[in-house]
Amino acid sequence: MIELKNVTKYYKTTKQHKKEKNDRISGKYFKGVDDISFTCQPGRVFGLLGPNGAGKTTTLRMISTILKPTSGTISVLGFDTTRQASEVRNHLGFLTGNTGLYDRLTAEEMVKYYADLYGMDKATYRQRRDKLFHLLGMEEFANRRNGKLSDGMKQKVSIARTMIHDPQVIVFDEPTEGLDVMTSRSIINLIRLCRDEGKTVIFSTHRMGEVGQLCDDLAIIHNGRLFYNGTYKDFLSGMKTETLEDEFIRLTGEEA
Amino acid sequence: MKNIKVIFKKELKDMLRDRRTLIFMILFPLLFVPLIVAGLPKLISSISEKNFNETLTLAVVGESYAPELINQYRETENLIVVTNVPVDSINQRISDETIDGAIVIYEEFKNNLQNMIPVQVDLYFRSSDDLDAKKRRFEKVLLDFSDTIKTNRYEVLNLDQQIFTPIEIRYNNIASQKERIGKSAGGWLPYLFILYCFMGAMYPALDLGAGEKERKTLETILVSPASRLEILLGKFGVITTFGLLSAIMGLIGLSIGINFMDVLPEEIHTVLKDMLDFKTIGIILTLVVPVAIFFAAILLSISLYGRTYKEAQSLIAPLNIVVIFPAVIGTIPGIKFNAMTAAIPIVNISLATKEVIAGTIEIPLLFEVYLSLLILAGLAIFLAVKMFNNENVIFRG
Repeated sequence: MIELKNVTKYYKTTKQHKKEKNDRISGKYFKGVDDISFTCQPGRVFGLLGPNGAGKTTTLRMISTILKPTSGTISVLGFDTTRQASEVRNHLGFLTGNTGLYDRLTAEEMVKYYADLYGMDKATYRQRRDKLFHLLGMEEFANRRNGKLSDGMKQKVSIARTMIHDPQVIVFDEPTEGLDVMTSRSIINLIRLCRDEGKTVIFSTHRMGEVGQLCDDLAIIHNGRLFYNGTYKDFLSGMKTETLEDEFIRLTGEEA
Repeated sequence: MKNIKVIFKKELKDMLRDRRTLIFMILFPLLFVPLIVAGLPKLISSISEKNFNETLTLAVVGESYAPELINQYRETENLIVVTNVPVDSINQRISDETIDGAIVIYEEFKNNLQNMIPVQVDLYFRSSDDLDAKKRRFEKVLLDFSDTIKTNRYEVLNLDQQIFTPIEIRYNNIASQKERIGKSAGGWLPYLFILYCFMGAMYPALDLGAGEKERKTLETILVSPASRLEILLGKFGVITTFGLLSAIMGLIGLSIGINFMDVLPEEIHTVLKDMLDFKTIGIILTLVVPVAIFFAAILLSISLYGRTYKEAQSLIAPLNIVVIFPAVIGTIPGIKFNAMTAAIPIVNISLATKEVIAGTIEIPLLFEVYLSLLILAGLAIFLAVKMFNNENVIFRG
């Protein structure tokens, strides 16, 4: 379970922010995320929908303990992300669409590196590794260096790296961004599999189509603030416009 | 601790597979140092040989006033004497290199010599280099001629030459040859190590900091259970190792140059071998260790600040000068190793090494050097930790 309570994240303003005369600027600070609260339940997929720059990545980075909230609290499986960051990270998997790999390591070495960091013993690693490599069809390129792999293969290595320690909570930050149809599909299948295994899944996207494909619960974020938080079913039944896009614009009150 | 080891092992493997790092760290010092050691003296001697052996053309004006002198010029090897050159064209001809020099003898030459009055001779040449080979070759004949006349005069006047040497100084320098060479040339040795240490650490630092940002692998390692301090120390360990390895490679290169390339004069060769004994090298290496730590920490801090590999590279470039300048200062003769200079980082390594090689090091000052370097290394590590914990640096947009 992931729980966010009144979470706010301020950044120091950059020259770019000042140039844009952004209304999220307050004094010396830029509001990356402004007082958001939501809960992600195990066995369900939570979608965080919003355009670029809405605050999705900031939110997911805070959940993943990489960033600290300016105010408010976040708990993951009951652990506080600020005070118990190490426990949170032990049970968390994190994947983005543009995750990089170490080009000079092989796929096998890459996954083993992370298994070692998670402190996995040999037998557990072997079992988990065999399962993932088989599931993703990675055996044939297990000993090839990452730099020599195709984009699809690379994404598979990233998935194996994310899942090697069998995390209970998985954070996907725009996981299909920049990927071809086939590779995107493997990610979508992975998200479904995680849900079926009872894991807590949160993923961010700016593609409306993906929301319909995957989400059980939905939050709409724009300019750092939440505009909707509830089940996808309720969202659909409460729609006052024809399409998801139109509904998004109606809720956020913004015309592109 | 376990995570630091895991990260260290991975980063080491990763860097050892990087060809560019290997070339800069191992191949470059291993090949370049012997080339300097062997090539430089050879280059200098071949240049001076050329200067002293090339055939020169000397124009003579007024030969008839001093036929004996000009005869001596004619008998000199690799020298062609030409006449019939007007005095007012000498400068022009030397400039356009049709002649290398000119000597002008005046009418009173013979007369003045006979009457023991100083006689003037004009020597024209064009010399802008330090070797001054042309001038020295032209004037040698004149000086020899002058010496012969002097000897003749002593005889004619029945004078003992010794009365013109009232004081004869006997020089007794009690500094050993090791000490003299150590003090004068010993400074460049640590300079070499400092440079290699910096260069060896630079590429891993760029790759493990800014490179990790650029590859978009930083975020994933930050989400792993390893703490930021563990990640930093793992990376830092590898960068320090590479800096040290590079310095050691430079040292091996140096000993190859000295021991296996038979180009140095026997005397210098023996002194150099004597200078670079295990104890000296050991002390120099212990001085390089804190410098390697300092370089690793400061390079990693800058690299982490850079958004991209390229940006980090351009940020690191000015640091080269910051490092090289104090190292060069230490090699300047005349700068003394004392309580004040022993506290100035990097400068103090060059100075201390000179003393170590010369065998005149004072132990309290040596400890001051270690202390100064360790404080600096500690500050640099503190800065790196602070930078790595700063969200604004890690996700600098």
